[in-house]
Amino acid sequence: MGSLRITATRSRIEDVGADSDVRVSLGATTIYAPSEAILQTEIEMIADAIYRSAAGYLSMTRNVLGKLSREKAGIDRIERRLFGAVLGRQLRLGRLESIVCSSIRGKLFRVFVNSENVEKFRASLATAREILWDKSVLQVQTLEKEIFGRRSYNTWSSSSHLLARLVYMGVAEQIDKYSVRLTPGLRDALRSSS
Amino acid sequence: MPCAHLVRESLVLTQGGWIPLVRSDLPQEIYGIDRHGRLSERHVACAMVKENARCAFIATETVYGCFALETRLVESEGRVLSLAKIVEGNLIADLSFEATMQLPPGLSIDSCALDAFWSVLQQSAASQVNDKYILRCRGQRQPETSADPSTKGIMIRNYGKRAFCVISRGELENRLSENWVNTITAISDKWLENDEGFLELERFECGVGIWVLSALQQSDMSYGLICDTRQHTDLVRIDTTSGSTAIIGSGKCAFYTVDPTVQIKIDWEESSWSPVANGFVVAGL
Repeated sequence: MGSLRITATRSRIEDVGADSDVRVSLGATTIYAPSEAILQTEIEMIADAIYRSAAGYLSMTRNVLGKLSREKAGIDRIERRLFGAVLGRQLRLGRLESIVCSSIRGKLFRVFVNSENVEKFRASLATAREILWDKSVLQVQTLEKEIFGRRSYNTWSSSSHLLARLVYMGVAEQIDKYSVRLTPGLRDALRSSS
Repeated sequence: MPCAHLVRESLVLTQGGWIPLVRSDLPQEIYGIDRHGRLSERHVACAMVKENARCAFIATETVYGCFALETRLVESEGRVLSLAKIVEGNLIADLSFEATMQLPPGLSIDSCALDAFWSVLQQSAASQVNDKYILRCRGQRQPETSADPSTKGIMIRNYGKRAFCVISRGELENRLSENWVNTITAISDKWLENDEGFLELERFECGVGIWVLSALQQSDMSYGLICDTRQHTDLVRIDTTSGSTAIIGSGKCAFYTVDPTVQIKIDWEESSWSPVANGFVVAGL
């Protein structure tokens, strides 16, 4: 495992041998490096690791994306702000998409989807919505089987993201972390309106 | 003859309100800014340029919307910059733009503008039946509304743990044509106000957002837009408790969207006139 020579923390400039004049701003974060070449190379390396990590999965949270990106890039640690800035750059350039979901406590969170997988995410969301309307209750595990066939790394999490998106949209209400139900009253609302 | 590139999602200003250029084969009368800085209508010819084009999103403190990468916007100091340059160069924080949200006098909302508005509600709805859209309120539970005339076409219902806004298209179309400002304000208060007191919209809901911003400007209310970050946003929040009524808004966010779209070219004759799209002044080529 290697370590990075760029930093988004001013107090670490000396630690990584960076020059405060060699810098770039990504969003509201400034990144410092020992030279222009290192600055560009290491930002590209993190960006590429983020893109490739997201490519293999339907969706993932920031923490999982960070872990996989570190593994792909062969780096033992990426500063949180540095990772956020490069992740933001990938979103800015349209290489990733983020989707708003609602947690069991009603708190919003975001999941990240590689641009190549956005259509699949939407199709899977439509499938989840259909099953939920049909069965009224939907387990993460049932959806996982429907979308992915067999379980592998992150498939359970991606299935739970689809349900969390339906919760944000108001179609579903979370029962617990394993299942959701069709929002009570929604079906009757449609019957009484028709 | 000057021309500009827009995308299907760009909203242009017409006598019938904000409309997307969905019928790109048709010529349009749209509003823009003339040599005296006044809002004036001109004839433009539209043509589809290409499918699967990329699209860019831009937001300032006062306006937001989608454009083609080639679209060139007039910055507040008169400089002209393409969206591609703004996004690739990560320049948004150093720029500011003039917002043109004032609607023409005698506005009469037409079917094209209404269709664009309803299509956003359709995409956002938890469910839809006939002409009724059931939308999750962005805030938690609210008292249910009775069916009195002041709430005609917009009702709050609590389903499960959440509040929902039930919007009836037929009844609302009448209210919109009678008094669009009050109707849009009622929709945004009931549907969009979140628990922090902001009006919360998803990014793709800009077909509703532009009407909300126009209603705020028409009512002389100050507001400011809040994006998630400078590099990307999923939500656009409208803060009506602070902000300003200033026409010039500093840049908040600019990025390329993931979805491919249809690019549309518009041509017009008068070089001193510039079209308005999404509340921004667009420069001709």
